[in-house]
Amino acid sequence: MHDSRIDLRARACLWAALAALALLWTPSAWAHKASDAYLQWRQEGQLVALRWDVAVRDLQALMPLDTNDDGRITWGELKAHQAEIDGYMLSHLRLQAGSQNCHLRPVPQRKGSPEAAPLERRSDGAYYVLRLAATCPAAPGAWQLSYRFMQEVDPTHRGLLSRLGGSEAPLALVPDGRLTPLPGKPERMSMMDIPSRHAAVSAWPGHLGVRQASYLPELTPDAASSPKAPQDHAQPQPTALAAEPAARASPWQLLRDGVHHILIGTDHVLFLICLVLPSVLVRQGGRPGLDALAPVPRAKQAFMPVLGAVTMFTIAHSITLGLAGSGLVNLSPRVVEPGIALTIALAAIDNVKPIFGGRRHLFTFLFGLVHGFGFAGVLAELNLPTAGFAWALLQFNLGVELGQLMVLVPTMAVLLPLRHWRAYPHQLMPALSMAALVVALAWWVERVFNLGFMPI
Amino acid sequence: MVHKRAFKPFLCLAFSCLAWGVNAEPWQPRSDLELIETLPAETSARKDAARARQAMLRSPKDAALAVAAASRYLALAREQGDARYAGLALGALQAWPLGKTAPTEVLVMRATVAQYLHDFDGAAALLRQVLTREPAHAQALLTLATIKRVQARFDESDAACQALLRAGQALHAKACLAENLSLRGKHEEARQALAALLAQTQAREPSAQALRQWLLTTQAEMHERAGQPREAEASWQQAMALGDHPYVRTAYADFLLQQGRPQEVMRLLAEQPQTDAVLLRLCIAAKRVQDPRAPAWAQDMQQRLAASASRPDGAQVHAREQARFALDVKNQPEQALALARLNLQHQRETADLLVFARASAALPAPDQVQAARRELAQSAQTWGMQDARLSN
Repeated sequence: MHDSRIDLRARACLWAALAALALLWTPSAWAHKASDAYLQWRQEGQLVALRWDVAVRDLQALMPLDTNDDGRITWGELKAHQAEIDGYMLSHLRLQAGSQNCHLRPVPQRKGSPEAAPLERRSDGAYYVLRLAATCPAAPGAWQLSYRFMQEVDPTHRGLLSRLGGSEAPLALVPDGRLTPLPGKPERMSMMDIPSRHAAVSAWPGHLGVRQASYLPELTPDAASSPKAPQDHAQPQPTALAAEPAARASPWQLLRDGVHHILIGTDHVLFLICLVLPSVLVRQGGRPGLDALAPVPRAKQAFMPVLGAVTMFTIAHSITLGLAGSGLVNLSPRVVEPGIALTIALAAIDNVKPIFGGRRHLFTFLFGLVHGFGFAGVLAELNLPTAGFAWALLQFNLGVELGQLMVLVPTMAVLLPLRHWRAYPHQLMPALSMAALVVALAWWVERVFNLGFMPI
Repeated sequence: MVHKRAFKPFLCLAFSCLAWGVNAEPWQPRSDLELIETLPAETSARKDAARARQAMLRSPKDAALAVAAASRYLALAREQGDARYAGLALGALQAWPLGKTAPTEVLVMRATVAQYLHDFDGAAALLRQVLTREPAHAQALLTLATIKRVQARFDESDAACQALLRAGQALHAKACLAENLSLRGKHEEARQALAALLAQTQAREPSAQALRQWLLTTQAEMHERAGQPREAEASWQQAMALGDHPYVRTAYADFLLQQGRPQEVMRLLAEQPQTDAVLLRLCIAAKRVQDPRAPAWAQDMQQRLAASASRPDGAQVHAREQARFALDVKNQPEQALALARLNLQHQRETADLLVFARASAALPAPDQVQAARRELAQSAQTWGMQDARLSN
């Protein structure tokens, strides 16, 4: 799936960058900076997500985690205290919108996903990660935090608070419970803003790892109103934000996400182009060779093959998108992503030397099934609300179709006049197909061996 | 995320750049038995401190118990070079609001911790408060003298040393005055005073040994300032023989580095727990002897400095270490000079002037070197400091 793949690739590239030192570098018990916690927040409308990393050593100072008292804390020892830890943390942080309290709740994490890793490794040891979300009443006045972590034991502790994507230096929260306005101008954030967010994070001053950016809890209404909070603060829970897609930045956000996904999904675009390259040509006399190809006399004749191919592709990927999106079928990106590369390669070969035995539509349909799983990966990352899921799915799918049209219309506008050029059927079309084949094979190698060498 | 694709080459570059600056990676433990943190202290010392804290929590009004717990934690902080323990020490004392109602011992302890955390002005203010209450409080006077010395306010430091003499702590007072003499460049007077004091403390009991080690360290540093490396070496050897002390070890390592003996620094520190202070010296020595561990150590140090500097006041507090790292490990004399200059704003020990001087000398352009030298000479003159090594 796209995102997971990108994650894999980004990870591969991170590891390449870290290669030598990652092997050598282990957090040292002798790194001795003062006690700091790291807080990152972001806001979308009335939803606030907050990620809070605290040192395991600081937790040990607050409560004896080292149950067997051997100076070594195991994951099991920490886990045994997790409810206590979360309870302590939640009772030592308060978020207000104006004078009204926002109820911060832990975001339940999908087990096993890297976004949900419960610990963070830093230069001075292990940090426990708590992911929180809150819905805040629309109240006049600034967003304010009251911070009291470590107040009882270490007044030199600081909570280093930064806005995700903000370029300003972090604000050091003193654990004295004073209300501190959140730094930076709160702004609405839509899914479309994420790339700029990454860009901003990359430009962050060195102290926060880039990778953290992707480990913030997603701002979904689900998370914000999770019933699984270990502690209830007995405040009335704002219910205005029901789990409806309407809570997203714009009602048609998912449609735009679908369009956007196609437009930046180089592999889908390449597949579509491969598919339509020969559509402006017709095979004369049913002979298999390239020399049998001739331009269609009238533009109208190119229309039907394109429509047929695109319809097959669309029906197929809608099926798998629906199946995977609703969780009925699941396929690993390790299979889907190389599979997508393979579909491009095969389509490209078929353009030059027919290998589908004339059943191009059937193969387009089969390939569409593969691509659908790819789209579903994106959908999963968008964390769709469970209520209104079908509507969300439809929106996203419509977006994908719209994106397809936006690719196909200009492509056809170029191909139709180009078909009369003598070199097109016998030289240019095969050359373009071969170029696509090379790219697809490179993708295939990259995705199978998880290498991350391709620039796109 | 969806749109990473478009930014991938960019992200890759960013990762590569940041990889050098910071490291923070998600960590999913594989089993309950996976070790996630080792508490960085001798178990017995840590348990002692924990016990002292428990006692304090049982009787939260008892200032003596709180001071005892704080002093345990501060001792741990010094021993481990770990600022977190100093934070816990302050935490043990925070039940008493600052002001007239706070017990004297709580204020003195607070000042001692503040000094350890480089809050010199805050510490001095607390000590003044104590001294208006008890003008002859020996510990307050000695700590105040030290703080004023670090700030290169030798007249004020002398005054505190003199008051200590009047308070009946002759030995500490004379050593205190001798060190100030040495810092002003009056090496011969300082040498005589220290020799006399050392002759007085020949006793074998452990408390006298600690005192002797302190005097020998002062003597060694005095010889260094006087430009007498052979005598300094002898004093260091004697001080080292009196027991393992983290300050003595790292200060001797600095002397060895100064003398161009990095190989010995490797032997001296390689087996030591890698506190920030130890690791910094190891980085420098390893680089000079081209030890294969040098890049990994430098990377670790870089991470630690970056993490410390993410605090708003962190850059200033660690400026001396940052400057040395920039100069001796990263070969960035301009940056080192800027950091050394920042550091001199609040810390003016010999080591602070030295790193400024060495960074100046390493600058690429001769006129830059001249300007920086003039700047340092002027400052040293204003403060009344002299050191044979500064004029080289």
